[in-house]
Amino acid sequence: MPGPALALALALALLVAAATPGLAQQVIINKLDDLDHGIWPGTGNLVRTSRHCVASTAPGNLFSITIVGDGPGGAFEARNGAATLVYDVRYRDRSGVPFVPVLAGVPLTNLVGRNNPNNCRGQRQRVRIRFRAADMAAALAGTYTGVLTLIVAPM
Amino acid sequence: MPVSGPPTGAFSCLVRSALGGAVLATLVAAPVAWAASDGTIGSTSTGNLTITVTIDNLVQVTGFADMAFGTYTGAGNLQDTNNLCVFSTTRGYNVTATSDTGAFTLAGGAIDTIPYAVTWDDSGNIGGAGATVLTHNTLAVGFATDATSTTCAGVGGATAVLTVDMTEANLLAAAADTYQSVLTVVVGPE
Repeated sequence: MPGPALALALALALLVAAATPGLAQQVIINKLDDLDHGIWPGTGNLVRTSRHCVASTAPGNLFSITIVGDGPGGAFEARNGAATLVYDVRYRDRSGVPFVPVLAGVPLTNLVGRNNPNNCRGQRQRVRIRFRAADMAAALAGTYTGVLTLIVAPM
Repeated sequence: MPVSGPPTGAFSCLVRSALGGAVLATLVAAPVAWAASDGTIGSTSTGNLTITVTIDNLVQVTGFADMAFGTYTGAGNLQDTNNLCVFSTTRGYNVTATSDTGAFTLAGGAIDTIPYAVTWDDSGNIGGAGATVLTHNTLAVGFATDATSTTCAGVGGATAVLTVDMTEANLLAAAADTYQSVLTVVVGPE
Protein backbone atom coordinates (compact mmCIF):
# COMPACT_ATOMS: atom_id res chain seq x y z
CA MET A 1 0.00 0.00 0.00
CA PRO A 2 1.44 3.37 -0.98
CA GLY A 3 2.36 5.66 1.86
CA PRO A 4 -0.50 8.19 1.48
CA ALA A 5 -3.07 5.44 1.20
CA LEU A 6 -1.73 3.72 4.30
CA ALA A 7 -1.84 6.94 6.22
CA LEU A 8 -5.44 7.51 5.18
CA ALA A 9 -6.44 4.01 6.18
CA LEU A 10 -4.87 4.43 9.60
CA ALA A 11 -6.59 7.74 10.08
CA LEU A 12 -9.96 6.25 9.19
CA ALA A 13 -9.40 3.35 11.52
CA LEU A 14 -8.61 5.69 14.38
CA LEU A 15 -11.65 7.77 13.54
CA VAL A 16 -13.94 4.76 13.54
CA ALA A 17 -12.48 3.55 16.80
CA ALA A 18 -12.97 6.93 18.40
CA ALA A 19 -16.55 7.12 17.20
CA THR A 20 -17.54 3.67 18.42
CA PRO A 21 -19.03 3.91 21.92
CA GLY A 22 -17.93 1.34 24.54
CA LEU A 23 -20.62 -1.17 25.39
CA ALA A 24 -21.94 -0.22 28.82
CA GLN A 25 -22.48 -3.05 31.24
CA GLN A 26 -26.13 -3.66 31.87
CA VAL A 27 -28.15 -5.25 34.59
CA ILE A 28 -31.77 -6.03 35.39
CA ILE A 29 -33.81 -7.23 38.35
CA ASN A 30 -37.27 -8.59 37.72
CA LYS A 31 -39.88 -11.21 38.62
CA LEU A 32 -40.20 -9.83 42.14
CA ASP A 33 -43.21 -10.69 44.25
CA ASP A 34 -44.76 -8.94 47.22
CA LEU A 35 -44.36 -10.69 50.54
CA ASP A 36 -47.47 -11.14 52.66
CA HIS A 37 -46.47 -12.70 55.94
CA GLY A 38 -50.09 -13.25 56.89
CA ILE A 39 -51.39 -13.16 60.44
CA TRP A 40 -49.02 -13.83 63.29
CA PRO A 41 -50.44 -16.73 65.31
CA GLY A 42 -48.88 -15.49 68.53
CA THR A 43 -45.79 -17.65 68.47
CA GLY A 44 -42.73 -18.06 66.28
CA ASN A 45 -41.05 -15.90 63.69
CA LEU A 46 -42.63 -15.18 60.33
CA VAL A 47 -40.37 -15.68 57.33
CA ARG A 48 -41.15 -15.25 53.66
CA THR A 49 -38.90 -15.35 50.61
CA SER A 50 -39.27 -13.53 47.31
CA ARG A 51 -37.63 -15.27 44.38
CA HIS A 52 -36.58 -13.14 41.48
CA CYS A 53 -34.08 -12.86 38.65
CA VAL A 54 -30.99 -10.72 38.24
CA ALA A 55 -28.94 -10.68 35.04
CA SER A 56 -25.72 -8.81 34.46
CA THR A 57 -23.48 -8.35 31.44
CA ALA A 58 -20.46 -7.72 33.64
CA PRO A 59 -17.66 -10.29 33.50
CA GLY A 60 -18.75 -13.39 35.31
CA ASN A 61 -22.27 -11.92 35.40
CA LEU A 62 -21.28 -10.25 38.62
CA PHE A 63 -23.54 -7.73 40.29
CA SER A 64 -23.98 -5.90 43.54
CA ILE A 65 -27.24 -5.29 45.34
CA THR A 66 -28.23 -2.55 47.72
CA ILE A 67 -31.44 -3.01 49.65
CA VAL A 68 -33.27 -0.33 51.59
CA GLY A 69 -36.55 -0.18 53.42
CA ASP A 70 -38.84 2.79 53.62
CA GLY A 71 -38.12 3.49 57.26
CA PRO A 72 -35.98 6.43 58.38
CA GLY A 73 -32.62 6.30 56.62
CA GLY A 74 -33.74 3.27 54.66
CA ALA A 75 -34.38 1.23 57.80
CA PHE A 76 -36.12 -2.10 57.48
CA GLU A 77 -39.36 -1.13 59.18
CA ALA A 78 -42.99 -1.82 58.48
CA ARG A 79 -45.56 0.64 59.73
CA ASN A 80 -49.11 0.77 60.98
CA GLY A 81 -49.84 4.42 61.41
CA ALA A 82 -47.28 5.70 63.87
CA ALA A 83 -46.45 2.21 65.10
CA THR A 84 -43.44 0.48 63.59
CA LEU A 85 -42.27 -3.09 63.37
CA VAL A 86 -38.73 -3.95 62.39
CA TYR A 87 -37.79 -6.85 60.17
CA ASP A 88 -34.52 -8.23 58.94
CA VAL A 89 -33.38 -9.03 55.45
CA ARG A 90 -31.20 -11.77 54.03
CA TYR A 91 -30.15 -12.38 50.46
CA ARG A 92 -28.70 -15.15 48.38
CA ASP A 93 -27.73 -15.05 44.74
CA ARG A 94 -27.91 -18.73 43.95
CA SER A 95 -28.85 -22.06 45.40
CA GLY A 96 -26.32 -23.89 47.49
CA VAL A 97 -25.02 -20.81 49.24
CA PRO A 98 -26.26 -19.47 52.55
CA PHE A 99 -28.42 -16.41 52.91
CA VAL A 100 -26.35 -13.41 53.86
CA PRO A 101 -27.61 -10.79 56.32
CA VAL A 102 -28.24 -7.45 54.68
CA LEU A 103 -27.72 -4.07 56.27
CA ALA A 104 -29.93 -1.31 54.93
CA GLY A 105 -28.07 0.69 52.31
CA VAL A 106 -24.92 -1.42 52.42
CA PRO A 107 -24.19 -3.20 49.13
CA LEU A 108 -23.61 -6.89 48.85
CA THR A 109 -20.96 -7.43 46.19
CA ASN A 110 -19.60 -10.13 43.90
CA LEU A 111 -22.96 -11.77 43.46
CA VAL A 112 -23.57 -13.90 40.40
CA GLY A 113 -26.58 -13.45 38.17
CA ARG A 114 -27.78 -14.58 34.80
CA ASN A 115 -26.03 -13.40 31.67
CA ASN A 116 -28.78 -11.91 29.57
CA PRO A 117 -30.70 -8.91 30.85
CA ASN A 118 -33.01 -9.15 27.87
CA ASN A 119 -34.05 -12.63 28.89
CA CYS A 120 -33.52 -13.10 32.60
CA ARG A 121 -34.37 -16.74 33.01
CA GLY A 122 -35.69 -18.32 36.18
CA GLN A 123 -35.86 -16.89 39.70
CA ARG A 124 -32.57 -17.96 41.14
CA GLN A 125 -32.00 -14.96 43.41
CA ARG A 126 -33.88 -14.71 46.68
CA VAL A 127 -34.53 -12.08 49.29
CA ARG A 128 -35.79 -13.31 52.63
CA ILE A 129 -37.73 -11.22 55.14
CA ARG A 130 -38.11 -12.20 58.75
CA PHE A 131 -40.32 -10.71 61.44
CA ARG A 132 -39.15 -11.91 64.83
CA ALA A 133 -41.63 -13.22 67.38
CA ALA A 134 -40.28 -10.96 70.10
CA ASP A 135 -40.77 -7.89 67.93
CA MET A 136 -44.29 -8.91 66.94
CA ALA A 137 -45.22 -9.63 70.54
CA ALA A 138 -44.12 -6.15 71.46
CA ALA A 139 -46.13 -4.60 68.63
CA LEU A 140 -49.68 -3.42 68.96
CA ALA A 141 -52.31 -5.24 66.96
CA GLY A 142 -52.72 -4.05 63.40
CA THR A 143 -51.51 -4.54 59.84
CA TYR A 144 -47.97 -3.39 59.21
CA THR A 145 -46.73 -2.59 55.72
CA GLY A 146 -43.37 -1.61 54.32
CA VAL A 147 -41.73 -1.22 50.94
CA LEU A 148 -38.42 -2.83 50.15
CA THR A 149 -36.30 -1.44 47.35
CA LEU A 150 -33.62 -3.55 45.67
CA ILE A 151 -31.02 -1.80 43.51
CA VAL A 152 -28.67 -3.90 41.44
CA ALA A 153 -25.59 -2.78 39.54
CA PRO A 154 -23.03 -4.62 37.42
CA MET A 155 -19.58 -5.12 38.87
CA MET B 1 -71.31 -20.53 114.92
CA PRO B 2 -69.98 -22.58 117.80
CA VAL B 3 -67.52 -25.19 117.01
CA SER B 4 -68.26 -28.49 118.67
CA GLY B 5 -64.81 -29.76 118.04
CA PRO B 6 -61.84 -29.05 115.92
CA PRO B 7 -62.73 -29.17 112.26
CA THR B 8 -61.36 -32.26 110.75
CA GLY B 9 -62.36 -31.70 107.22
CA ALA B 10 -59.92 -30.58 104.65
CA PHE B 11 -60.76 -28.80 101.48
CA SER B 12 -59.01 -27.56 98.49
CA CYS B 13 -59.70 -25.08 95.81
CA LEU B 14 -58.32 -26.12 92.48
CA VAL B 15 -57.81 -23.27 90.12
CA ARG B 16 -57.11 -24.03 86.54
CA SER B 17 -56.98 -22.12 83.36
CA ALA B 18 -59.32 -23.07 80.61
CA LEU B 19 -57.50 -20.79 78.25
CA GLY B 20 -54.96 -23.06 76.72
CA GLY B 21 -53.80 -20.72 74.07
CA ALA B 22 -54.35 -17.36 72.61
CA VAL B 23 -57.83 -16.04 72.11
CA LEU B 24 -58.20 -14.67 68.66
CA ALA B 25 -60.48 -11.95 67.50
CA THR B 26 -60.91 -10.82 63.98
CA LEU B 27 -59.19 -7.63 63.03
CA VAL B 28 -60.18 -5.83 59.90
CA ALA B 29 -57.02 -5.46 57.92
CA ALA B 30 -56.31 -2.28 56.07
CA PRO B 31 -56.33 -2.71 52.31
CA VAL B 32 -52.93 -3.53 50.96
CA ALA B 33 -51.74 -2.36 47.58
CA TRP B 34 -49.85 -5.17 45.90
CA ALA B 35 -47.16 -3.29 44.18
CA ALA B 36 -44.13 -5.40 43.39
CA SER B 37 -42.40 -3.73 40.48
CA ASP B 38 -39.64 -5.00 38.23
CA GLY B 39 -36.59 -3.05 37.21
CA THR B 40 -35.62 -2.13 33.69
CA ILE B 41 -32.38 -2.81 31.86
CA GLY B 42 -29.70 -0.23 32.51
CA SER B 43 -26.50 0.57 34.30
CA THR B 44 -28.52 0.01 37.45
CA SER B 45 -31.89 -1.62 37.87
CA THR B 46 -34.34 -1.13 40.72
CA GLY B 47 -37.18 -3.33 41.91
CA ASN B 48 -39.67 -2.86 44.72
CA LEU B 49 -41.83 -5.17 46.72
CA THR B 50 -44.34 -4.64 49.48
CA ILE B 51 -44.03 -6.42 52.81
CA THR B 52 -47.07 -7.01 54.97
CA VAL B 53 -47.74 -8.67 58.30
CA THR B 54 -50.78 -8.60 60.54
CA ILE B 55 -50.71 -8.73 64.31
CA ASP B 56 -54.13 -9.87 65.38
CA ASN B 57 -55.91 -9.15 68.64
CA LEU B 58 -54.21 -11.78 70.74
CA VAL B 59 -54.29 -12.46 74.43
CA GLN B 60 -52.78 -15.11 76.62
CA VAL B 61 -52.88 -15.79 80.34
CA THR B 62 -50.38 -18.09 82.00
CA GLY B 63 -49.14 -18.87 85.46
CA PHE B 64 -52.10 -20.66 87.01
CA ALA B 65 -51.44 -22.98 89.89
CA ASP B 66 -53.81 -25.02 91.99
CA MET B 67 -54.70 -23.55 95.35
CA ALA B 68 -54.55 -26.14 98.07
CA PHE B 69 -55.67 -24.56 101.31
CA GLY B 70 -55.01 -27.57 103.44
CA THR B 71 -56.91 -28.36 106.62
CA TYR B 72 -58.79 -25.54 108.22
CA THR B 73 -57.75 -25.05 111.82
CA GLY B 74 -60.95 -23.40 112.90
CA ALA B 75 -59.90 -19.78 113.01
CA GLY B 76 -59.39 -17.02 110.53
CA ASN B 77 -60.02 -16.43 106.89
CA LEU B 78 -58.24 -18.26 104.11
CA GLN B 79 -56.67 -16.66 101.12
CA ASP B 80 -54.46 -17.72 98.25
CA THR B 81 -53.22 -16.01 95.14
CA ASN B 82 -51.89 -16.73 91.69
CA ASN B 83 -49.48 -14.31 90.07
CA LEU B 84 -50.39 -14.40 86.41
CA CYS B 85 -48.86 -13.23 83.18
CA VAL B 86 -51.43 -11.63 80.92
CA PHE B 87 -50.19 -10.79 77.45
CA SER B 88 -52.33 -8.81 75.03
CA THR B 89 -51.43 -7.27 71.70
CA THR B 90 -53.99 -4.59 72.45
CA ARG B 91 -52.60 -4.06 75.97
CA GLY B 92 -56.21 -4.27 77.18
CA TYR B 93 -58.31 -7.27 78.16
CA ASN B 94 -61.39 -8.51 79.94
CA VAL B 95 -61.94 -11.40 82.32
CA THR B 96 -64.75 -13.86 82.88
CA ALA B 97 -64.51 -16.38 85.70
CA THR B 98 -66.74 -19.37 86.31
CA SER B 99 -66.76 -22.32 88.64
CA ASP B 100 -67.80 -25.87 87.89
CA THR B 101 -70.15 -25.61 90.86
CA GLY B 102 -72.19 -22.93 89.11
CA ALA B 103 -71.18 -20.26 91.59
CA PHE B 104 -68.08 -19.21 93.40
CA THR B 105 -68.46 -22.01 95.91
CA LEU B 106 -66.48 -25.03 96.92
CA ALA B 107 -68.55 -28.18 96.94
CA GLY B 108 -68.07 -31.10 99.28
CA GLY B 109 -69.48 -34.57 99.27
CA ALA B 110 -72.55 -33.51 101.23
CA ILE B 111 -74.90 -30.65 100.53
CA ASP B 112 -72.77 -27.97 102.14
CA THR B 113 -70.83 -25.51 100.08
CA ILE B 114 -68.32 -22.86 100.99
CA PRO B 115 -68.61 -19.55 99.19
CA TYR B 116 -65.46 -17.80 98.09
CA ALA B 117 -64.67 -14.48 96.56
CA VAL B 118 -62.57 -13.98 93.45
CA THR B 119 -60.57 -10.81 92.90
CA TRP B 120 -58.60 -9.78 89.83
CA ASP B 121 -55.95 -7.14 90.30
CA ASP B 122 -54.05 -5.46 87.48
CA SER B 123 -52.60 -2.70 89.61
CA GLY B 124 -49.18 -1.64 88.46
CA ASN B 125 -50.04 -1.70 84.79
CA ILE B 126 -50.51 1.52 82.92
CA GLY B 127 -54.24 2.21 82.81
CA GLY B 128 -55.01 -0.70 85.09
CA ALA B 129 -58.40 -1.05 86.70
CA GLY B 130 -57.00 -2.12 90.07
CA ALA B 131 -58.37 -4.80 92.34
CA THR B 132 -61.78 -5.89 91.09
CA VAL B 133 -64.09 -8.37 92.73
CA LEU B 134 -65.41 -10.65 90.02
CA THR B 135 -68.98 -11.81 89.71
CA HIS B 136 -69.51 -15.38 88.63
CA ASN B 137 -69.85 -15.76 84.87
CA THR B 138 -69.90 -12.02 84.33
CA LEU B 139 -67.59 -10.16 82.00
CA ALA B 140 -65.29 -7.76 83.81
CA VAL B 141 -63.76 -5.24 81.46
CA GLY B 142 -61.11 -2.58 81.41
CA PHE B 143 -58.05 -4.44 82.55
CA ALA B 144 -54.59 -3.57 81.27
CA THR B 145 -51.24 -5.23 80.88
CA ASP B 146 -47.83 -3.76 80.27
CA ALA B 147 -46.44 -7.05 79.00
CA THR B 148 -44.73 -6.86 75.63
CA SER B 149 -43.75 -10.49 75.61
CA THR B 150 -45.78 -13.64 76.08
CA THR B 151 -43.69 -14.50 79.12
CA CYS B 152 -44.05 -11.08 80.73
CA ALA B 153 -40.29 -10.71 80.61
CA GLY B 154 -39.31 -7.24 81.62
CA VAL B 155 -42.36 -6.70 83.81
CA GLY B 156 -41.49 -9.07 86.59
CA GLY B 157 -43.06 -12.13 85.05
CA ALA B 158 -46.58 -11.26 86.13
CA THR B 159 -49.08 -8.53 85.37
CA ALA B 160 -52.14 -9.66 87.31
CA VAL B 161 -53.02 -11.28 90.60
CA LEU B 162 -55.91 -13.68 91.05
CA THR B 163 -57.04 -13.96 94.66
CA VAL B 164 -59.45 -16.41 96.23
CA ASP B 165 -60.81 -15.59 99.69
CA MET B 166 -62.92 -17.57 102.09
CA THR B 167 -64.27 -16.06 105.27
CA GLU B 168 -64.02 -17.60 108.66
CA ALA B 169 -67.79 -17.50 109.03
CA ASN B 170 -68.35 -19.47 105.88
CA LEU B 171 -65.67 -21.96 106.79
CA LEU B 172 -67.09 -22.56 110.21
CA ALA B 173 -70.56 -22.98 108.75
CA ALA B 174 -69.47 -25.87 106.60
CA ALA B 175 -69.65 -29.46 107.72
CA ALA B 176 -66.44 -31.37 107.96
CA ASP B 177 -65.58 -32.56 104.52
CA THR B 178 -63.26 -31.95 101.65
CA TYR B 179 -64.39 -29.17 99.39
CA GLN B 180 -63.33 -28.42 95.88
CA SER B 181 -64.04 -26.17 92.93
CA VAL B 182 -62.55 -25.78 89.51
CA LEU B 183 -62.29 -22.14 88.65
CA THR B 184 -62.12 -21.29 84.98
CA VAL B 185 -60.81 -17.93 83.88
CA VAL B 186 -61.25 -16.70 80.34
CA VAL B 187 -59.34 -13.64 79.22
CA GLY B 188 -60.25 -11.77 76.06
CA PRO B 189 -58.63 -8.85 74.26
CA GLU B 190 -60.24 -5.46 74.22
